[in-house]
Amino acid sequence: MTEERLRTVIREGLDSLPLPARFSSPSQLMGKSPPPRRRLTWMISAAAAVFLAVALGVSPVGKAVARAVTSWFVTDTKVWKTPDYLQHLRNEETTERIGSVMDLQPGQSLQHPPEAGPNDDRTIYEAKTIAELLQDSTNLPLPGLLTPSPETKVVVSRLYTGQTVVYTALQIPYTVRLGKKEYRVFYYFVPAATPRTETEVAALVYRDYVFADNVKDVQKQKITLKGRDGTAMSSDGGKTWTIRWFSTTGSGWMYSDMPLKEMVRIVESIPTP
Amino acid sequence: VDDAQLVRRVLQGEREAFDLLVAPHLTRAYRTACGITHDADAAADALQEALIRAYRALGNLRDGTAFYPWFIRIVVREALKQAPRPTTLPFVPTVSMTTPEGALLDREEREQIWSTLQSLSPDHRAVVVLRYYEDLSEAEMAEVLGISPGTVKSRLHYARQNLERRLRRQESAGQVPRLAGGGTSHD
Repeated sequence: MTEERLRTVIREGLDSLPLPARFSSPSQLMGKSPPPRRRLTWMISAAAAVFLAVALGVSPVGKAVARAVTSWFVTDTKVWKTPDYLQHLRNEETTERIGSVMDLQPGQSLQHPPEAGPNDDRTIYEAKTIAELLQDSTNLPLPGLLTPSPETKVVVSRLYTGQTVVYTALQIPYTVRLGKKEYRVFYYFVPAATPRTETEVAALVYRDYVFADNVKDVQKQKITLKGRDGTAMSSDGGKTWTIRWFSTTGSGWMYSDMPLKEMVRIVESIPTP
Repeated sequence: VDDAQLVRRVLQGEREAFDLLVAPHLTRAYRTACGITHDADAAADALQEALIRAYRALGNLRDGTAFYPWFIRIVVREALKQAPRPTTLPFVPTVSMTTPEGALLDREEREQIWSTLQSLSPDHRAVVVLRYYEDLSEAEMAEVLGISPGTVKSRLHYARQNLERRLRRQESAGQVPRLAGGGTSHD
């Protein structure tokens, strides 16, 4: 085989792969982080201020300035490590502001707006009624612990910018009562464009997929937990917890503000595919 | 508008300029990541992570430095991190063919090549993709991968040797039809 042949096969093969729709507006993935150079400048300024305050001594004013700058710096670093994108998605107000949230009843089908982009999932959504999509969603290994209450409304949450749908999911809110406390659980389901086989699902699940944008930071903080079936959960800043899994009809994820140990119970109750 | 201007605009807080900056490069970067991971989902994750990292580190890009070589370095490193080991799903991009017979011959050969590439480690696949898809020189590959040019050379040699050996073995076992005069009938 010639080098040219190898080059041709690789080129033709890779050139046939379409870019996934989620990259239609990359800046949406960036959350609200301020631009980096400004941040870098501030970090350098903060470091310089601390250095000066320490170097110059030790006057009470200097010490106070140093303390203030240090505390600002530390707080800001924490914010910086938060996966902004997830926060962005979880913030219902943001979703509503950017896109649209529609209440739909079983039996009603979803019509995409005419301005929706060409790469969205409209065919799946238009071909199925919400009841059918819900049926698909129950194929996910949803733990028996979570039962939607009768008054639960299914919300199709669509996040888009300009003309392009970035993201469409079926949002099913649950309430879980643990002792005297009630916790909110948001469960999302996205139907797969092409149904996956069981093997593919197993492969995806066993990849230890963590639905978090800054996996590395999460790992650094040693707060990533893995279910025995390979599902993973992670924290965004320690307040809400997310787990994600896959099925032949789609993928789903949920997040909740319930205590970590309860989320662990849920992860462990998900059966192995 | 050139890359340097767009970088400055992003750094001044114009987030939408980031879309303009990366849009021309995304498809190619995604395909390069696919070539390394052999898994479309892992490639998409790698690209997303690379975009976030690039956005945050844009301030480190010196004025006058071309954006794509800097960005693809981040993408390749993320793809190497995301590449499943070992890959479990067959990864054979489908390409439309001209004639049915040529298509069949082509398809089988292509499948063999892609499956052989899949049997290589992500590190070895990375040099193959950078060489034959990104068209980088050994020195450029060394820079992207953060390894010495000697290591690049030996990885490329190993990958090519492996491909040749496997394809020759399959050819002699009759699994790969010859491209010309093979006499294979598929009626």
